[in-house]
Amino acid sequence: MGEDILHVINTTDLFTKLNEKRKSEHHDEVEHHLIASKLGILFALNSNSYVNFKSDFVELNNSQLNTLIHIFGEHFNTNMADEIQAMVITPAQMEQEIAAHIPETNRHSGFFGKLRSLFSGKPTLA
Amino acid sequence: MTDYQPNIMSHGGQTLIGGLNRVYHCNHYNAHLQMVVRMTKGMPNHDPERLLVDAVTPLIQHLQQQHGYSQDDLLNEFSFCGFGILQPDNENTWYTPHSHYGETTYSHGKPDKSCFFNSGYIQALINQQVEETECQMLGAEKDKYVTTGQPLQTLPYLTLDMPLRSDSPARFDFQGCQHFNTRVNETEILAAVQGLPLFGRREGEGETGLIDAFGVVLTNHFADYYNRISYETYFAMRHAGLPEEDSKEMFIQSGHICAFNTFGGIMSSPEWHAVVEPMCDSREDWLHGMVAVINALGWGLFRIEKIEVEKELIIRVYNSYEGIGFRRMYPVTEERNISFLGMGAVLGLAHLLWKVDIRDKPTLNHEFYVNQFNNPENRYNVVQTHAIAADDEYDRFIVYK
Repeated sequence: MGEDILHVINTTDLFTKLNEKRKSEHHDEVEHHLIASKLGILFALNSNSYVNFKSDFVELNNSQLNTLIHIFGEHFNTNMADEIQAMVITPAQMEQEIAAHIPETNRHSGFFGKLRSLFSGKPTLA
Repeated sequence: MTDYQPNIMSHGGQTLIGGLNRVYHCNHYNAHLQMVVRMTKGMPNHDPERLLVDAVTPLIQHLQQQHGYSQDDLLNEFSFCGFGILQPDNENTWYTPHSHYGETTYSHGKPDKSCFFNSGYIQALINQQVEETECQMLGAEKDKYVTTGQPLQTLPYLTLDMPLRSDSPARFDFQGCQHFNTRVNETEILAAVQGLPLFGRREGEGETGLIDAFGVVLTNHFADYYNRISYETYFAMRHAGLPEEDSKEMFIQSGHICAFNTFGGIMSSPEWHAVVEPMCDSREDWLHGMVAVINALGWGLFRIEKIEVEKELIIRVYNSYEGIGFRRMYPVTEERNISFLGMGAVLGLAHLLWKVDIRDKPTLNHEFYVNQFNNPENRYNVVQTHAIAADDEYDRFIVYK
């Protein structure tokens, strides 16, 4: 897969999965907004790019996915490689999901509206 | 055996030992703050672990050079202040069989050596660069430190003059202060807290040099160690291009965690129930009581300006340790949301009464912190409107809905 292929991750699902795994390994749970704050800083310092993990969704390329997996290992003591690979979806897949399940008139509001707005612009880079 | 008893002076809300401000903080604050500092590892021209070591060395050198501390004084004071027990083995090797940082701190990340502060303390004792080679955090029986063979390259950083105020207003006696009707007696509470044995011991059977109190493990720490590691890290984050809000948030969170554990622990303690609670006629009296206790912690002189129940809490801090420390290290800043510990602590104080209700005696564990105290629901906000760092007379924090 090329660097330009983006993957979408639902941050709530990501943080929930992280805590599930941490708890299964007898580590303390970490509150979601603290995870988001830590990831924002660590991601910027490790990848020289800023991603807002406080938003509902993030889109990452392959290199950034690897950075995320590395950060989870080092700073949350949790190997999340398999979990992250299982939860990422491509924008094309998401568009297909939207087209298959949602009437045209509802595609620009709520959950799907957020997704569409996410795809309409790249993440802010520092 | 006689307990070590340093000369302790109180001035304007600060507690001075050897001329240096000391502040009580718990293992949770120390752990979280150290975690934040270490998050910046890998940045160019910034070595957070060296910062954590080297920030204490000039402070110990100050005690040696300005106040004539001997090695024995420093070993005693290490224990007195709750850092553990520090022992030389030979001229190149030291141990801490008990240590605050080795035994009681933690991080979310992989377990790692954590006694940077202790290494910096030893550096001043032997005038050489030191590193930790074994740590209880990694399962060692005791923390071990050796000289690196490198020369010591630390410099004093408290280089600017910033005297403490002597004219801070009395409680409730300043322009803009709301009229309060409370039986909470700050003088009595201060005397009671100052009479507690909040110190560690180096010698004697079973002594650890740790301060186990209020359900946490306390240190009577160097205020300017906190200031140095916090602000140097904050500036490094900003220099790297991180947004201001994100850079500050983690430090403010450290203060919030501190409030939950230390304030919460104090407000759940037998001492609180014996001394403070009988003075309280309302939930807001608990705020007055806790602020009185804070004024014994060395953090500065806290003065409540306004309480609007469940809506707004305004607190001023004269001689705040963060503001004074900032001005002794750096030029005046234009930033006002800059006393990170103060912001998080005052927010946490409001949360203890208005988000959860500490009077219900909840179990103050990590699960409660995550699911109740620090969840987004019914959360308050905090802003700092005045800052000593910005040349204001005091720090001023507003907690609001």
